[in-house]
Amino acid sequence: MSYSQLGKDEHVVRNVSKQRWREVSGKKIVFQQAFALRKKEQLKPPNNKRDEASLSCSWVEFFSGGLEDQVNSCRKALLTGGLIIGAHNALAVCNVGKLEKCGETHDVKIRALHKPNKNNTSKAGIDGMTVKTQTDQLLMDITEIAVVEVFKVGELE
Amino acid sequence: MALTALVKDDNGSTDGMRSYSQTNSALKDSEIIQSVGTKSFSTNAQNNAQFEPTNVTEVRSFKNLSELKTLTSLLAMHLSRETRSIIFSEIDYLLDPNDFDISEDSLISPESFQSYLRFLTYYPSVCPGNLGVAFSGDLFAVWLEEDGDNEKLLNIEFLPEDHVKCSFSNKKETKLEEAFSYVGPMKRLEKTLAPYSLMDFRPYVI
Repeated sequence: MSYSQLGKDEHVVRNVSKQRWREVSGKKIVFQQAFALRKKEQLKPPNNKRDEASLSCSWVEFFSGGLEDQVNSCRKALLTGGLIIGAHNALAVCNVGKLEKCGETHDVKIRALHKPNKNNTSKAGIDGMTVKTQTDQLLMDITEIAVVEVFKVGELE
Repeated sequence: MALTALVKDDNGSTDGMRSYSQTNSALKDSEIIQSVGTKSFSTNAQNNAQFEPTNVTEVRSFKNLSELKTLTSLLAMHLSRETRSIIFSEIDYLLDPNDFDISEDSLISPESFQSYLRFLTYYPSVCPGNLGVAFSGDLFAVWLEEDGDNEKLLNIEFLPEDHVKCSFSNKKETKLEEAFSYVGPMKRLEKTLAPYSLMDFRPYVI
């Protein structure tokens, strides 16, 4: 199946467990571990045959409204897709152009693709990294540069 | 550089950041034994003592939590009461059996946790930091310092056998000014962090 590539001005949102983000002095900080691809031994059956190759997320501009409305729609779409999203989790919004730029800096061709399926039509993926090429420095750049907004799930409607 | 970290207050609130001050009031052995024996590990854990796990995930996270607190008690003589309280509060939050998502959350590796405890005894002037868990189950701690538009973030992931994976970034407004990462023995951290004025990482010889 062919997927469409998202433009540099567009955004994707990733579900982040409470174990990988914190609110410090009113500022929501996502830790680099939230953007790490999992090795196959860290995955659960039936997805544990090979290392993770894509970071699962949702395409923000698929929905209309302001950013918070769009992110909330993404949350609902993720729930429909079977994902459990706790009230303490966060949703991290990334700019596609900045994601690509972070990759270029580390010689990794990162791209965001729209990968709709029957359960979640806004589903997207951050592709191009591998378990071997995801250096700490690259992951740090992503969280420091490409993450442009963070929403606490419990604060969304 | 005084590293600070977010810690929860008595009401469990995570608002605001406060500095951590090191005290040397170690736990008495009798307190540890009583604490472990009654499962009354901490204020938050008192709720856990009454908590009855109902499914496999809850049992696993509850057992993991108990194991980590028992490991802490073995090193309690080298940790201040305040440090121990912060550690327990952090792991209570990370492994809360009532709020544990098996698809996204990870149990904490006891080997990684032991490295973290040894880190705290080796660098006693450093506050425990905000803790998190990588997908691998390795524990990591994060420290943040904000000075106007400057933001310094230090992230140390604890690997088994006293090794660490450390990343540091210094951001001014939205621009990344400097960054580095280090993987290796914990004891070389001080030398690695020295050029960045992170000298709260002074070694402590037991």
